[in-house]
Amino acid sequence: MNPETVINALNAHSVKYVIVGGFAAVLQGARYITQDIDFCYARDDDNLKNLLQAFGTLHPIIRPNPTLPFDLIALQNNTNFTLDTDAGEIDLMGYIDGLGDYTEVVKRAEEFEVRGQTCQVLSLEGLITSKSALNRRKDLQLLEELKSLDALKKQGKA
Amino acid sequence: MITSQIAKRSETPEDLKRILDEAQKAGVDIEGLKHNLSLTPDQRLDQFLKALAWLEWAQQAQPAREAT
Repeated sequence: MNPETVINALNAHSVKYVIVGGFAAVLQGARYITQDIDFCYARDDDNLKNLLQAFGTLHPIIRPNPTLPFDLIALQNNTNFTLDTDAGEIDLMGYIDGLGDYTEVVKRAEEFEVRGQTCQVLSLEGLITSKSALNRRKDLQLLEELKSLDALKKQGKA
Repeated sequence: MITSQIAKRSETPEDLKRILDEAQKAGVDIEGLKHNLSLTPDQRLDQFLKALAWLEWAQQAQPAREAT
């Protein structure tokens, strides 16, 4: 996994995105291991084109169907993608359970500086809401960590 | 009104302590989380990438051990 490469590519092409999921939890302080990076992205035409240009350098392959090209038609007809890229596994999501589309998700994001690059990362509160909405057994431990991080931050502010 | 009362109540020091106590009982490493909060995002990323590299090494080493 090479998050730096992906973030650089997305920023270089002015893609509107928010880092979500387990990798966002890591950046927020969770002791969690994930092998992919999840992004929520804006689905307007300009952003889809920018996203394609950004991913052009990463040689994306659509996980369930490697013969399907990752192109504008694919992006216009589908919302969520699991991609194998030169920078590792990437999940692209146009909609996040419990939160909504990019316009809603970005309202719950915080600006982070990672390797000198500015990126939007879903807040602890947003992560707790989305993981709670998914209601998956595999997220229970991470959910406890997220709630604990949130409590610790609030204790620090008190 | 009810929502704001709940939100306010959930932020009392007692409730925060209860959340942390319950999480600790559930196996959450609270001291580890405190340490992570003291790190910068870049330091958190370094720590994560190191742990991921160990995990991937262990995953690759496992079949090799089983084959011998």
